[in-house]
Amino acid sequence: MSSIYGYSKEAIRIKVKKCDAGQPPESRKFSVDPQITSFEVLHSILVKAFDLKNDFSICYKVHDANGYETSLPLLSDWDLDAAFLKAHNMSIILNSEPCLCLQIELRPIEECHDESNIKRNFPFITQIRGSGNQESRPARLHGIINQVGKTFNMVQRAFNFGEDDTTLLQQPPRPPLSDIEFRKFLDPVGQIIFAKELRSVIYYGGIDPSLRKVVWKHLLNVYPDGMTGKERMDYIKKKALEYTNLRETWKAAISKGSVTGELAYTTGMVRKDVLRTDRHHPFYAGSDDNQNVASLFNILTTYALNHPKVSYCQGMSDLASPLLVTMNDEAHAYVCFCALMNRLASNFMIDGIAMTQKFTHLAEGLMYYDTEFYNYLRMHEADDLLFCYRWLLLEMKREFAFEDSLRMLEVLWSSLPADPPDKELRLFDVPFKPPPSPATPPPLSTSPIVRTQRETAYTKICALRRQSSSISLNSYQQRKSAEQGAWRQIHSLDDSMSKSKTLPGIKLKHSSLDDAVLNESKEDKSSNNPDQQTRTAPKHKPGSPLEKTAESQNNRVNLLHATRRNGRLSASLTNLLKTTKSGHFKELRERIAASKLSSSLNQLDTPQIIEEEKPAGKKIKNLNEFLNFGSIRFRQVEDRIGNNTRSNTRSTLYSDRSRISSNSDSKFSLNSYDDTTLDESSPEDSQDQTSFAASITNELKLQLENLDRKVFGDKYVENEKLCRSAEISRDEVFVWENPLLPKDTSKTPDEVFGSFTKEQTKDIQGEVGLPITNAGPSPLPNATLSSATPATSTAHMTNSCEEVTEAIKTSSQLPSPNEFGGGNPFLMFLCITLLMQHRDHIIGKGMDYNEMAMHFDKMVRKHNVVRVLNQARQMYARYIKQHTAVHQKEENRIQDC
Amino acid sequence: MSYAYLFKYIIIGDTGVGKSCLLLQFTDKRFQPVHDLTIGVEFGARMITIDSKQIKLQIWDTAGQEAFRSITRSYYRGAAGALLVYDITRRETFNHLTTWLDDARQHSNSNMVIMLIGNKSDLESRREVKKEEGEAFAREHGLVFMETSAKTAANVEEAFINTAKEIYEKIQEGVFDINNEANGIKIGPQHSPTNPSLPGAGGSSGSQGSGCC
Repeated sequence: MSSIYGYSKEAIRIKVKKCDAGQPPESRKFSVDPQITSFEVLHSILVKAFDLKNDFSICYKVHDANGYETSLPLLSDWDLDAAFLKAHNMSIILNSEPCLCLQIELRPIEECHDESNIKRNFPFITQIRGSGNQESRPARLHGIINQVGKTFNMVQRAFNFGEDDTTLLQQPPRPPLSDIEFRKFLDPVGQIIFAKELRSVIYYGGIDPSLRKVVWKHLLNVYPDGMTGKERMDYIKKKALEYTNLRETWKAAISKGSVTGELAYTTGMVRKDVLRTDRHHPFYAGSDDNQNVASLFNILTTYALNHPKVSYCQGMSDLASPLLVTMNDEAHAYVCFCALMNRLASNFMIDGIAMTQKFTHLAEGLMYYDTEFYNYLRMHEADDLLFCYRWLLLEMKREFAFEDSLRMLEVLWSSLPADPPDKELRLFDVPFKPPPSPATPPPLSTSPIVRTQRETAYTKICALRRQSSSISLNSYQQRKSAEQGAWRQIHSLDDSMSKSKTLPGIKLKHSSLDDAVLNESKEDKSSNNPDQQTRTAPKHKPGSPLEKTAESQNNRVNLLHATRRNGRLSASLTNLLKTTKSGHFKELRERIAASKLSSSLNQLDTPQIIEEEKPAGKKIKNLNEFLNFGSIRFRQVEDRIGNNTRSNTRSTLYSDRSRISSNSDSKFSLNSYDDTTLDESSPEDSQDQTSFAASITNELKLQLENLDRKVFGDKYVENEKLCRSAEISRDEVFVWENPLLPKDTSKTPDEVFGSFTKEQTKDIQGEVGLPITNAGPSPLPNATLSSATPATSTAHMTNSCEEVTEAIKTSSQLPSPNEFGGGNPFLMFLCITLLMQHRDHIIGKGMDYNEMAMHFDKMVRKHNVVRVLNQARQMYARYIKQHTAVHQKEENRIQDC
Repeated sequence: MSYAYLFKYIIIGDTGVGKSCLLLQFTDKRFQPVHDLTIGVEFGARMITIDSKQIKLQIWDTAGQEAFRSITRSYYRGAAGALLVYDITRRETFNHLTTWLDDARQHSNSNMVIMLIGNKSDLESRREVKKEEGEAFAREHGLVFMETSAKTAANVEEAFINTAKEIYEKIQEGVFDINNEANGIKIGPQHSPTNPSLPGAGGSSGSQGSGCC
């Protein structure tokens, strides 16, 4: 067991100095066995040693990286463990006996100024892991004496930090993951064996900076599951080579002089932006031909050219920059960037769905946690929260000082469930093919479209957020024409732009970067990757039940976007609906149609029209959003359908603006959906439909389930699931897995802890590695939908109306973790935390929209990362607890039945 | 801080022409050679004096990339003045002016004062757009024109203040309806009668309060 810690079990000498105001300091020396000395034991030793009657605080001395001596607070077993480790490390360096220097002061560590504030807001005990059976745990825990058990005991304490020790609000709940500690999560061949636990440790303390280069790749889902250390090294080497080849392709085109079309556009955009990304950081500082700036340029250009659907958009440089700084290697940073973008590409998508959803959820969350402030924002017409755009797009990266943002990012990443690539991480979507020769005209057909599409993303978000607009399910056609309008506009830009590219002055100006780029490329030119082509595997491999859902989900998203662009979404959906005529969707549609909901939704989403249509409420926008992000809206729809006079607290969110109090004056265009979309389906669409339908079915299924939950209550969904479980394999559904929670909520914490015994390690491995590999027959896409027969749904609908109302009020008021914030609930809590930490200041000064936005602009890179993370963790813990409790209650109720 | 009027400005133009640097020079009187690239919209404010009247300029600095342009668009409507910026060392930024201008005209109120600004006048050696070309463009489209340098601060103050003067003139001539906040003009708190803000009401849709000042 000692090998786990890497040091032998000898006694550690403890030197203690007691400081008491006005009294001469006293010292004591004694030795302890680190294996049996817990924080409590140490505490009681100290009480006896000094005969202490009052409360006191304990600090220990450490030497930081620069050799300076600092004191760290010792408040828990975590801290004590870290202190022992550091003492041990020092003893090796100094070749002496391990010795730990403590200092105690006869007063508690000074209280956090915000304590009262926090307490007011969070009167609850925060405990993430707990999910029932709390009483039996301590006894069981005492029985576990191995180090892993101890570690998790300490995690347990860390979870509770908000409860009994608010002083911790100024410090992270535990020290960063250290080198030696990290090894505890690896087996002898370097395979990660406690992946979930690794994440939870990082979630609470982050990672020691020296370890980031290694651990970030795990957090970012670069590696497939189950790789040994050696395999990982080979893998990353291969990936690096693959990257070099991708880069050489466009570099070669540039050196041939064929800088036109997409290549010219991309390099032009990226160049401008890398020159002003984190240049204050020493890594990027200095002249514009800083090699690291060139590397950032290479990463972004390679990504944009090989992911034409995403291409380049401002904001990406901010995302890639910390990766490059941390990896300090262009190829590794590129691989990490691809992994990160697997999750974040949707933020840059034209349809604006992902961003809109985040805004919606943020508003919802803020309203839930701080109604007063939300109302204040609404009064100042700032409830669109557009000033949070940067927060959401860059996942708060710019809100903290650079080093702090690294900590924040790793904590945020570790809050997400692991999502490793199936076989390997893809470094391209569509490999870039350089234009054949410089003489051929630039392929305008591709580049302007990409641009225009991106533009409409913001049109949409703004329309949605700012102008209280509504968009119809059948607005696609109109939107398309609007896009074409915008396209024309951009087209003129392109013309002039590509012309200007040939000006000698421009070339001169850019030469420094290009030179750097080309010079560097020469080194790698010799290496050509022959197997590059072989990796163009099909994105979606149907019929593989064991396939990780994660990738297919990404693909699904991509497919969705691609299809929307090509105007086939509605066709495919129609087709899908035709095949599932008896599903809930139709049912729902009929209900909605019957209640004659409004068709303010039939509007174009172009700004001009919206201006005219402004008074109409801002409700459901289009089918996609309707399905995807129905949480709020469905509650509202449900409100209106079920009982339009009932004033649900939820509906106050928009009630001021949307005044759809009377159903009769609002129209809902779902019922016109089929007609419109049928017109759009054409023969050539059909070939895509099968795969598309397959991929979207999951999405639909999820949304429908979610929707059911909203409309009919959790119980219904659970029943439904039970009905279906026989025929449906779970791997069809993306299950959000909180790394901090026992995966199976029906498992008691004891069982979870028990499972860390060695003989069960294998099970854990399986559990951690393949969270959703409940292999089963691959169901037909339709079957999942049609299994919910109209009969059942109707029955439930009629039976459970009142029940539903209750359930919604008391239980899951916020979206569930797998959908809140687009599957990143912790980001929502970071944003809400920032807002709440400044709300008093804002309200006190009576700031208007502009002043608020300026205030937060001024706070760029200045937020206190520890305070923000602690508060966000606390809120998140409470949120998870509530959700777990609700989930448990539902399960119990079902079991009772 | 009390003010007689508040004018809302918007700064638009291609990415990298120096919009944020102009704003920083105007509000903070400093130049940052390397400025963060703007995501979405950022904000600034400063008080100026015209005719011994305190006027607060509220400035919305927009991202230049096309991707963000619709965000920009939604801000046009509430703006009294716009600084349309190009970079004299990059001709394409001048070539795109028509697009920006069309966009601004289409989405703003018709009285919005637009000032054309050729920035980076300190980089004479790399100049690609002649001053005469800028002047001609401004004349043709009825804009006020000025070459500035956010780096040396040359003409930066003037650009913002001249725009304000023109807006002020328009107010005095009665061209602007100052009671309609959608025009980007607000009367200072102590200058207006009680001005209860109506929560949630479509702000731009009509005049708020009675126009009795």
